[in-house]
Parts: sequence; C-alpha cells; structure tokens
Amino acid sequence: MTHGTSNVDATEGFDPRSVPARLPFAWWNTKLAALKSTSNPEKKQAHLDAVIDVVRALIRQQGCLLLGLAEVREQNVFEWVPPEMRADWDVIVEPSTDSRPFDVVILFDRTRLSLMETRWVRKHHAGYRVRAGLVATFAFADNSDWLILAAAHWTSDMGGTKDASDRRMNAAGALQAAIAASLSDVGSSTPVLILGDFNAEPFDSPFGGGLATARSRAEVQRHRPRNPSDLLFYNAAWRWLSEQYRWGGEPSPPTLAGTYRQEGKNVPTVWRTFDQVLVSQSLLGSASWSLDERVLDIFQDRCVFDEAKSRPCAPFDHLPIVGHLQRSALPSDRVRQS
Amino acid sequence: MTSFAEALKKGLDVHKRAAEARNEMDEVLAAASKEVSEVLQGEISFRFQAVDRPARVQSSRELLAGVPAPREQSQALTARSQHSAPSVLAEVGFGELGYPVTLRWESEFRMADDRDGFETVIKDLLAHGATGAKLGALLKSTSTPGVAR
Repeated sequence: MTHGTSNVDATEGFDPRSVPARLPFAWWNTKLAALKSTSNPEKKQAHLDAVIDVVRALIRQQGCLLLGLAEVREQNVFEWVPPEMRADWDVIVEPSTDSRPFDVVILFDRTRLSLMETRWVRKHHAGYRVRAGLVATFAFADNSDWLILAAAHWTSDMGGTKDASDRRMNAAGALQAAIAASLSDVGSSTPVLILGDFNAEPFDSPFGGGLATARSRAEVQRHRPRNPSDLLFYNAAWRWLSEQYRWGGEPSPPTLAGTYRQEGKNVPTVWRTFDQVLVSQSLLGSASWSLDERVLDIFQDRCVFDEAKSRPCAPFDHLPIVGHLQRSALPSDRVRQS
Repeated sequence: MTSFAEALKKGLDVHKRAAEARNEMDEVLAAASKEVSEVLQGEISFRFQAVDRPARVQSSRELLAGVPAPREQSQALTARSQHSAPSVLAEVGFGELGYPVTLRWESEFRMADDRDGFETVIKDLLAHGATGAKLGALLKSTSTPGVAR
C-alpha cells in the first residue's frame, strides 16, 4: 500500500459528498474513556480537541456521511460535526439509563439516510450482561434500498482474559441474532454493514462461530443460508493484519500492521487489528449498493497517525477506518415504510 | 453409526430441555404477574402468546396495489387484565432448547441464556417507560365502568 494515498483525498478536487451514489463511512475508537482517570482539565480538553479534529477531518476531508465512534458517553457529539453541516446531521445515542450504558454513537447525514429503527443489543449470560452492539435500520434517502448498520465495541482483555473472551463470544452470537431479526423485518437481501472495535482480531473465535465471517469474498458470495439466522459476512479487515510498509532494507522502517497500538512502557505494543469492517453478501453483488473495497483503508492522516513513531498520535491508541458504499444499480423495488 | 433409536432419543431430549426451559420462563412470568398485580392492585398476567403480525414491511408493488404485506404468526410476551384485550409488550424468539430466548421492545434487543438472565430481562422490560404506559392503559381500560373487551 502506498502510505496515505488510498483514502479519497478531497483536496485533490473530489468531494464524495457531491456524488449521490456514494456513501463514505468511518469507524473510530476515540479513547475518550481514558479521560475518567485523568484529573488534569487541560489534558482532558486537549484530548477532546484532538478527537474533534479527527472527526472533522473524517467528515470534511474524507466526506464521511456515516460515522461510528466508540468510547463516547457524556460528550455532546453533535457539536463535533462541523458547524456549517450540523443542520443536516443527526446522532444516535443510547437513551437508556442502564447502569452500564453503551459507549457507541453513530453520526449520520440525515439528508442521505433516514433512521427507521434502532436496537441496543444486550446478552444476559451467567449472571452478567454483555453489550453486544447497536443495530440500526436506515433507508437511503433516494429510496434505493434499506441499510442495516451494526456498530459494536466489545469487552477488552483488561478485566481478565478468560471472562472477556467469553463475553465477546456471547456478544458475537447476540449481535448476529439481532441482525437476523432486523433482516427478517426488511428483507433478507438488505445490505448489512458492521463496524466495530471488537477487541478481537479477524482470526479470533467470535468471528468463527458467534458472528460468522470469512476472509474470502467468493465464499460469502457462494453462501446459501439454511435458515434466517445462517448469516456469513465478508471481513474486509483481514488485509490489515500484515505489515503495510514494504521493507526495502532501511535500518528503521516505519510500521503499520493493524488499527490498534498502545504507547507501551518503553516501546509501543504490537499492532492489533481490532477495528474491522464486515459486510453482507448483498454488499458484494450487483444489488443496489455494494462495498467499494478500493477505497477502504486505515485513515493515516497526521492528525491521528504519527508516522515517525509508527503509532497513533498521543493520546490515541486506535486508527480510524474509512470506506465507501457505492450504488451499483438502479433503485430497487424497496420503499421506505413511513 | 447412529441408530434410529439414538436419533429419536436425541430428539426427545431436545424437546424435554425446551419444555423445561419454557416451564422456567413461565414460572418467572407467574412470579412477575403476582408481584405486579399486588403493586397495581389489579390482576395483571404476563404470558407468552402467538400473535398475528406482518411478516415484513410492504413492498412498493404491494403499496401501489393496496395489498398488505403477508402476515405471520409470531410469539409475543403479552400482558392482560381480567376484561381487556392483551397488550403486546415484546416480540419473543425461542432457541431450539428454549434458551437463548430473545425479547425485542422499543429500541431494545435482549437475549438471555438462563433463568437468571430471563429474570433480568423481564425486570428491564418492566422498568421501561413504554411498558409502564401499556400497563397503565391496561389498568385504565379495566377500571372504566361498562367497558369490557
């Protein structure tokens, strides 16, 4: 990969917002949860300002019309949208007063997408509750189709590996069940886009059983479901597992081999591919909308990626991912339900 | 090689486990019904019930032709009082073994693996404002003189 060139660059004269047949989207974990342990108000404000810079870069520079963000709870996310665009935008936050609320929010341009339904998915298992994710059903404003969006931030290993792994498996199963339920409402061929920080890599067990995925597009295209719950998603994040910089013999080449890297005590930790994009079979075919994988990439702008240190800029530990859905056929037979 | 008898045994076992799970859930609903009735001073019972609903949203062709979407029978958790029509509180889905059981209401999708989980989901359902509104309306319709549904 050529560093930083595969994201669409609006500065070169192409603005994806001007193309009605494209839906640029992004996912990013903001690391704002870390602010809870920070008592320094200047540090807190600096972190928040840095988050706003990245979100605005994703909207202005990348033309994103749909953004999923993690580790966001108390902040007024709507104010992160550039002021001149706010009139067109809306936000999905959990309305619940649950003691452990979701920390995922969705920002979207409501002139392009109409929100029809949201489901906050929780699994109750062995005395604990797991936040599996959000499943939202949108209608494209041009009536071309429905879109089911799932966004998830699963438990990390920080609280105990065994338990966290178990929770992620349960979250995976519940999320798949909720997506299947939404598909049964609007039609099994409805496009499904799943974005998340799963705290698991594409090869980990939640993506084998609970939320079934494949690294091969052909396998997903061939899949014939045996029942409404038998879903298989293409995991486009497999390509981010390996080193993105090709080594030419330099003594200290930069490195990028995932979406997550912590600062570490002496040196940064190893890269992990925790942030992933999963799509349904219908986004890999000739149906109304499809994934444009040519522009799906890790966002490496200098506002979030420190190339010299080969890690996300402080205070971040995740890099955003940016991609596009493109309309590949005339509007289908579907209509929005009023 | 699996014999027919072994296969049958497996099927009976699945049925038995599903029935046990369903009994457990019915016990939870009975306990919830009793407690809620005491608090509201009116007889309210929660139960699983088959309900008729559209199988999916209408297609554009159906809309143009004025034809409704096909309908299907689905399971729901309902509340009813003595003289009122049942009020649907949540859509329900049962796993092959009874669990996991899924409940959908408003913007919630809950899945429970066991009795404890199911109890928690029912508590959360009862704590939801939409459920409060439905139960309030149910009691109101019951207590209105001359109205029997």
